[in-house]
Amino acid sequence: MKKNKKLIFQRIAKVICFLLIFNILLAAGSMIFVPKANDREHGVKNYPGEGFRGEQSYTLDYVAVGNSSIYRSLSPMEIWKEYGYTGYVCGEPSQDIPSAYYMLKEVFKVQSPKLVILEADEIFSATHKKIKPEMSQTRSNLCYIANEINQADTLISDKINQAFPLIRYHRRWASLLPEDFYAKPDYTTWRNPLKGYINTAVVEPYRVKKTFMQKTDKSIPIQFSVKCYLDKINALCKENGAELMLLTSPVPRSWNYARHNSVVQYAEENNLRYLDTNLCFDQIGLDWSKDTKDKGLHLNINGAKKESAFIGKYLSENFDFSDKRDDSSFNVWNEDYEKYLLTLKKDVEKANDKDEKQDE
Amino acid sequence: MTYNTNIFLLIFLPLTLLFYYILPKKARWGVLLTASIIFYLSSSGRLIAFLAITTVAVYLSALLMQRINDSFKKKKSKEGITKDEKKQLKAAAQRKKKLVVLGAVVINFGILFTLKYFNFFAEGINGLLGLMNVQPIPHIDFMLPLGISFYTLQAMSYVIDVYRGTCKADRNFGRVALFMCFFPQIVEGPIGRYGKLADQLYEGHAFDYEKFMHGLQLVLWGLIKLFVVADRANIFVSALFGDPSRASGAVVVLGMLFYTVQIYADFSGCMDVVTGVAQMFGISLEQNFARPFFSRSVNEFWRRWHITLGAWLRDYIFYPISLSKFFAKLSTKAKKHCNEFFAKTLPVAFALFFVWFGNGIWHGADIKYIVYGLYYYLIMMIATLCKPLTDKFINALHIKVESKGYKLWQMFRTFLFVNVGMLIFRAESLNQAGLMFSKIFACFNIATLWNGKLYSYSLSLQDLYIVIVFCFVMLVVGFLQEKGYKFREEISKRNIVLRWSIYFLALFALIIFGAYGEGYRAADFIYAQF
Repeated sequence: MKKNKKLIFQRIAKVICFLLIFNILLAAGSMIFVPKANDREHGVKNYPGEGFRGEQSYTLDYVAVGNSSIYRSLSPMEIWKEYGYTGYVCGEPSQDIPSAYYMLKEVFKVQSPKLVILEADEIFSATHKKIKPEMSQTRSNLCYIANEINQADTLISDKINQAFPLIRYHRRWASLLPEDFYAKPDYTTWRNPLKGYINTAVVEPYRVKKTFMQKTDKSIPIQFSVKCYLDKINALCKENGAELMLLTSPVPRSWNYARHNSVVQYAEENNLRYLDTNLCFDQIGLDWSKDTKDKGLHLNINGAKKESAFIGKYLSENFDFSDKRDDSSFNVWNEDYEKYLLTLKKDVEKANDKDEKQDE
Repeated sequence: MTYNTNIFLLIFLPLTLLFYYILPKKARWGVLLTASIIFYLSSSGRLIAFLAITTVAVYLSALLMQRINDSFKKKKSKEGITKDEKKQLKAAAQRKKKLVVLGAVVINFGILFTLKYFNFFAEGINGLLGLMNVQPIPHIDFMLPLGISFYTLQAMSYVIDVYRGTCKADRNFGRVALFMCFFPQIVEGPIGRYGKLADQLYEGHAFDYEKFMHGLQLVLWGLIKLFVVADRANIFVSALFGDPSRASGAVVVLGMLFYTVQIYADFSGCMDVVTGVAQMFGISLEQNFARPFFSRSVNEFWRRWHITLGAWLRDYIFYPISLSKFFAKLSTKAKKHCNEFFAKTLPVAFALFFVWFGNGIWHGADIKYIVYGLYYYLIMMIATLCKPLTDKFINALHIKVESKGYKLWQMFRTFLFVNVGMLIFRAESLNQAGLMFSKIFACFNIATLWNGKLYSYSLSLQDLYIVIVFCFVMLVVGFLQEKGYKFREEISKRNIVLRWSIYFLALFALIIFGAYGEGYRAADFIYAQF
């Protein structure tokens, strides 16, 4: 019996030791693998969205979080040009609500925006997945519980990624530099002149269906876990003195009135502003034969300019941000604007070249 | 929830293990059943109703057959009963049992047929109806319950075993239900047999440190295959098969090899994970892979690849057909009128046709799967029919069939055949498979492998290196296993520094070289879709 007990203790001690060493190795690996600067060359995959770290601390008026719908449609530099408001789009491809929460937590460490714009399209990211194989179809579309479990899985991944950057940045193994083994991360080195917006001049026209945004009383239930994280985002914003506003960018391919109703309901319950630009195509002046990059899924430069002008006007009418264009401490934003214009110009030229080649 | 998700590996499995080992042994099967139901619900939700119907149907039909058997035995043992009466009673009991089996077959295969094959056959019939100007059968989008192709075969094996008397009907519904839905094997098998599995699942196993650790090691090895090899190979395979029109023949060959590697790493990796998980509960599942790429013939390959499916088809399709009275008579006639070789081959050829047709269509409701099955049938039949000739040829040339060189040639030949099969299997359609084949011969252009064209298929040099290196590792592991080397036992004999170094190396290989996270999308388990 005594011998048995000793063996059990020995084994438990071994397991604990193993886990401890594993943790130490993970932490050590994380120090090596974590990018040492906030740009693409240093391995930050979502460098446009995470580029807010390159901004001077506590200078942003507003930030926007969301998936590709937001970073393809909202260009803070267009709003800067017209109104002198400082903003940043902290987007991520296929971002979900928990990821938006963690992104905002990072934002509030270095910025104190008065407004947080949340792209509402990602509220339904769990139901976005277009999955062909039967199993995945049943897994993702059939039942509420399956979606909840998927969401929980994403949450665990987020937590692990945060705890051990080695896991998040593991694919950097092939691009590690000598400095990765000794340098400390400094994420203020690179300023993103596009402020999180991702530009494209490509045009793939779309014809908006007549049934788009047809009124209905139906609504799509928001997943329990998504709601929990929406509440957490709301609380986080309040804690940091920011107002949370919900926004839906123009996405005629996937948005519908039932989703709109769900967001309206959530916004009303929580006393939040909600702007659904899918109801204002005419006011924005969107021309779907010229303003979309991929047949109604995302806007191109033309569309983003119009959408940003619309949002800028909305901000000027509803919020009290100051115009900083003539403020010398914000000169760098004017410099960024010049770089922004140059980037757009290059992109348009590239698109034109491509068109000409195709014509030939 | 699938086996390679965080929620399964870090929450669901540890919690199930914890409850399993802290509860009394008698209650442990309950933990497994509850966990299995939760696992199933988490993936298929309401579709669990189909699994429930199948479970109840096989449970009741097995009991009914047992009752028929018992009543027959009772009547048979009565005094004064004549031999003829006994025969009649036996025949009557057999008839009743046949009816019950038929009922079970109709219910279980009926569900499978409706959900999986309805649209496929409806399309075929619609072709005919169109010619007659008749309203076509509408297309219905059915949802497939998780693992239906696997658990239906498992269910039927139980019913048929009870019918044959090789297994007794179980009165314990919990045991039958657990046999049907045990969570590690419900998604992709291995297809278990009641006699070997049910008791193992039901009895509460004491915690065995060695077994537990061995299970854990197997899970880790399986995850390496899945994340490092299968998911990485999938990047290139998906891009190529998504648009093969611009690929050269050389790229097609590389894609074919990658897919073979992918499906092997995916399926065998999943089997390692589920076998390891079961081992952590003290349960041994049947082996589903035995280093198939060391096979010297296609026949042998299928005895080493998806072993439990092959065994099922052998026991429940091949034997009943080839050993049937009809073929016994036909064989005798053939022996008289033709020759012995023909007499032996005829029933085999006939039964094998159904086996390979069944194998093909089991994989999916598509003509390409049928062609895939019949492709193997054709190879095996050619090999069987040409055997006298090839034997003569080998003798004439004095080829030593047991020499290493000849064995290697046989393995290479089998590998080639398998790869061609995999191309048919993976292609979106038969037309696409044909197009890709034609490219191999029409525009091979080997330079496309190094002139940068591969990058357009999302295949980076690093991906290529990793797949090659880990394929080599799998090959070495397989080779040593062929030689009888037992890795886990050998590792556990080593000192702690070496042992832990191996574990850490494996863990960090998985973490660093795995194709997961930002920029990667984990592929669905290939066999879970069948």
